[in-house]
Amino acid sequence: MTFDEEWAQLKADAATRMNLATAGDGGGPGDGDLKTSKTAWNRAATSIAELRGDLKKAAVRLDDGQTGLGAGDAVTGFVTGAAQAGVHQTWQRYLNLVGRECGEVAGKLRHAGNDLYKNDQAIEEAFTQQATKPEAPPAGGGHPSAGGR
Amino acid sequence: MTSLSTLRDAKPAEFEQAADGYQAVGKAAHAAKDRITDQTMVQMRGGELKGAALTAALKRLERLSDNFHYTQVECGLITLALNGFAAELRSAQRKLNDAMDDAVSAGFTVQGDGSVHWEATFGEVREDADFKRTKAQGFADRIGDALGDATKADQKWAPQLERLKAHNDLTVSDKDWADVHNDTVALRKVSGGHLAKDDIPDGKSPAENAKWWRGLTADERAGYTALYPASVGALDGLPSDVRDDANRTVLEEKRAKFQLELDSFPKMPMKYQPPTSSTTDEYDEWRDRTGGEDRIEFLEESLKGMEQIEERFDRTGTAPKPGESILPQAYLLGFDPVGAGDGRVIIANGNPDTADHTAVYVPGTGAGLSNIGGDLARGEILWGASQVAAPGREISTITWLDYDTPRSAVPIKDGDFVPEATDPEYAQKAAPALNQFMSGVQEAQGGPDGSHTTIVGHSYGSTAIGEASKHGDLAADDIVVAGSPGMQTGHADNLDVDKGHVWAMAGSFSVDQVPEGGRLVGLGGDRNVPTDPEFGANIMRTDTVDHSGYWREGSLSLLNQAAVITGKYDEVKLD
Repeated sequence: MTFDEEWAQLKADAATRMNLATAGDGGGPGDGDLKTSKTAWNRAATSIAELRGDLKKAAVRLDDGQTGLGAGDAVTGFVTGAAQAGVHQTWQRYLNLVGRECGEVAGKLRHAGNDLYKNDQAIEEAFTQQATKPEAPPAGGGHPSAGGR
Repeated sequence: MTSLSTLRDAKPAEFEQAADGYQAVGKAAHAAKDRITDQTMVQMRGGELKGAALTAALKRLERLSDNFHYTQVECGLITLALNGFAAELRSAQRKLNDAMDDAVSAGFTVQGDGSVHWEATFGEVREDADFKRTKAQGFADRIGDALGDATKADQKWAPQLERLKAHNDLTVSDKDWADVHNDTVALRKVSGGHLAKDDIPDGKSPAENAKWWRGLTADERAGYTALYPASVGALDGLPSDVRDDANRTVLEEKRAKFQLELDSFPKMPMKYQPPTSSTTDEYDEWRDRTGGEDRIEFLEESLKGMEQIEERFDRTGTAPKPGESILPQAYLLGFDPVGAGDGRVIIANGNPDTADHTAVYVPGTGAGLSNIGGDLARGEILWGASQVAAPGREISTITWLDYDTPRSAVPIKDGDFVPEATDPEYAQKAAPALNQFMSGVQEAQGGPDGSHTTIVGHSYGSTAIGEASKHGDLAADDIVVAGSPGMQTGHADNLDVDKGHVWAMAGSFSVDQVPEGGRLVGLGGDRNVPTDPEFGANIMRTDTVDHSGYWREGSLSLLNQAAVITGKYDEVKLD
């Protein structure tokens, strides 16, 4: 199936489900143990997407603060300067990882909010699946406690 | 050794700018953590979503919030380390510049290696030359000192920073939190005079604590919270959100530490040496080294209690039952697995600093960290009932456990022939801590008129309140006691609230024997207990069916308490 076909299918599924939902009591589909709300999923998606933006801004400030502290700058005369550069590298990498995770989670929340998953189980599976992975560490980098991971 | 040119050209401000960058990340992470746990997850749990999808999504968000918490705490530590290094570098640089300036203005030249030279003048007498040599040596020594200071600072701070590298995965493990704790302890040691633990007020009044806090800069506040979260979190008089933030870090680190210790607990060797009943040498050695079965039990019980605290956090935004009030944010105002003996757990439902009505619930016999859930639930039930009693008013109800509670109230049945609850000493010891806490709440509320405050005591908790009320000012407007065995005084007028503001309820002897038991052992004064007419309290009607039934949902006992808490005295049903 091409992407377009898949998309059309998804939309058709979603439309059917929405019709079923409105045919009922006007609330979300499902019985007492199952409830869904587009608004609730979308609101969560928006807030996580905004957090990603805030985190990005802070990460930019972190990088801006590095002026004069790079390799080749005078600070390399200090062990602390070199240590800081190493620490900064790990935080850059980690904040990037957390940012990507925000992106994945926000995307899945949005997807759920737009009724693009087949059912409750499909949403559950999506959140259980982990797409965001840590970058492979550069040789010799990483946290000492994790054996350089 | 730091070279002269390195120190001369160094720009301490650059390290401070880097520190600001980490601080910005820490702040953003703090805000992100709060938003996820106090807003996003709360809304998702609010009732519009239900099912396995919700559970899976919440799990993912919880992990994200853990990552933000980790970032907040670690970046706080990095900020401290970089600012610490910058300060010491600046002082070494100033020392160097002063020495060089002085040398030059005295006619000497300073070489790149730090040595000091002078031009001999023609026909110079020997005394002159010696004099100059001595002076030159003096300048050289000062320069050497400055370089030594810089080297020392460099060698001190570099390893501190090294340990503050970020991990590279999305699971904040117990080991990660244990590392965070160790990083904090290591940083405390090198921070020296700046941000010293001794600066934090100890044994001072909440007013003095608050004054100290107000006098700090934002950086200093962040610094003390990062380095000494347990001390800051325990400080009565500080704003509730500050204490909550500090105590949540303590909780996270303790939980991780205890779990790791339990997971790696050495296996117990064979205990008894057959055929004798004496223990084996291996067992004795194991017990002495590890703390033995007592330690295992302590770890397990503490973890159980911490779990119950976490569960309360997760209940924010949910209604215990359909149609009931949605629980507000929780504030962890105090946490220590040991405390005065049974653990310290102080949790507010809703922010007391801004509440119109505040209630502090003091539990009685048998209360402790490991079974705190029941006492937390009572605080929540009081919140819900008060919310219904005074719609639109801001309510905060607090469960206060910070005393060594007696373990038994009923002879033999609870395990003691003479129950511990017959002893007033537990209440006497509890009193100062309770007084201090209540004054702290009042201080953070902006004074006695900041909120209408009720203190609620169950069973032996009421004895502690009576004791606290006898010593100094109890910062409360109303006192409510349920199933009280006596308040260490014979009359309500001796308690530290206005006349007519002591309220008591107890089931008849057939459902609650504790008041009679208390009278028998003399926990009251003049053999009076608060539900005696002679005591002079307002005696409230109760529909309890036993000693622990005063917080049953929808009960008259509960409605009566809520009426007092919300100041609707005319709605109280009196006997």
